[in-house]
Amino acid sequence: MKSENAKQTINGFIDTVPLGISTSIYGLVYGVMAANAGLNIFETIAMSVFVFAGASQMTAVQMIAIGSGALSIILTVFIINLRHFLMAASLAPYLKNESVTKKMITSFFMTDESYAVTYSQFQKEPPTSSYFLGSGLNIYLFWGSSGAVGYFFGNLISAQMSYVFDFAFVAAFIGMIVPMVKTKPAVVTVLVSAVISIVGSLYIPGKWYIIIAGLFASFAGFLASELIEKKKQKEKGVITYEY
Amino acid sequence: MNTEIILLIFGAAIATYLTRFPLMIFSGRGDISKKTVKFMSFIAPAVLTSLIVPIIFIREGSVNLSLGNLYIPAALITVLAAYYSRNMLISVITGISTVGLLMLLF
Repeated sequence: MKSENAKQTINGFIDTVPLGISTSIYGLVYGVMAANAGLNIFETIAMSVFVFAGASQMTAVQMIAIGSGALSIILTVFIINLRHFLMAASLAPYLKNESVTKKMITSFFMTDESYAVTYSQFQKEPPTSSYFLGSGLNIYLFWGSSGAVGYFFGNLISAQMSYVFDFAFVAAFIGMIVPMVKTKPAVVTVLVSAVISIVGSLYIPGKWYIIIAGLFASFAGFLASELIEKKKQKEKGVITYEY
Repeated sequence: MNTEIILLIFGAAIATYLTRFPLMIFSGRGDISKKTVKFMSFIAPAVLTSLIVPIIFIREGSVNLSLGNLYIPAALITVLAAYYSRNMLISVITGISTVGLLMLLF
C-alpha cells in the first residue's frame, strides 16, 4: 500500500511537469517583483513556502511596493484565493474515503495547475490524494525555486531598466486575465474593474480600491450574466408562445 | 528581517490556507449555491484587472493618456499576444520587448 501511494505521488509529479515549467515563468516574475519591492531573499522564499499562491504572492509584493497596509494586503489575498473554495468543493467528492489528516495536508498544495491536472486524471483513473499531492509538490518546487532565481535577476536590473521590467508584471497578469475573458459578463467585469480601479486609485485613500474594484466588478459580471440569462429565457418564452 | 513583512507573510499564509482546506473536508454537507459559484467565477479577473490597470494608465498621481506613456501601446499589444498565443511566456516576452523597443524608438 505504501509503495502504491509513492507510485501515485510520482505519477502526479511527472504528469504536472509541463505546467510546472510554465509556472516557473510566473515564478521568475514574482522573484523580480519581490526584489524590486525591497523584500530580502528569505522573505521572498518564505512567502513561496508558506503562502504558495502565484497571483496572490505577486499581488502582495506589488501592494508592498506601492505601500499598502498589511491588513488590506491580507484581505486582498483572501479574496483572490476564494476560488480555491470552488476547486476544493469539486475535488472533495473524489477523495471522500481519504483520511482528514491527509486531506488537510494535500489541500495546502492545491493550486490552479495541480487542480487542473488532478481533476482531469480523476476522470480517467481511480482518484487518490497521493496523486493530487504529487501534482501539488511539483508546482511547489518549480514555483519556489523559480522565485528564488527571479530574485537574483531582480537585483541585477538597474533603475532605468526597471521601467521595462516592471511591465513584466503587467504582461504576466494580462496573460492570466485574457484566457479568463471568454463571455460577455467577463468582459463587463474587466471593464468595470478597470474604471473603478482608475478612479479609486486616484480618490480612495490607501489601497482599498483593489478590494472595492474586485468586489463591485465581480458583482457587475454576476448581474450581467443573470440579465443575459433572463433575456434568453424570455426570448425562448416568446418563441414558444408564438409557435 | 522586517517584522511587518513576516506578520504579513503569516497572515497571507493563513488566509490562503483557510480557502484551501475547508471544502475539501466538509464537502457533501450542503453544496455551494449556483449563484455563489457564478459570483466567485468573476473574482479572479476582477481583482487581477484592478491591480494592473492603474499601473498602465496612472503616472505620478494622474491619468496619463499621452504618447509618452509607453505602457498603453505595450498593454494593447500584450493583450493581442495573450489572446492569440494563450501562452504566458510569449505574453511576457512580447510585453517587455514592446516597452523596450518603444523606449529605444522614442
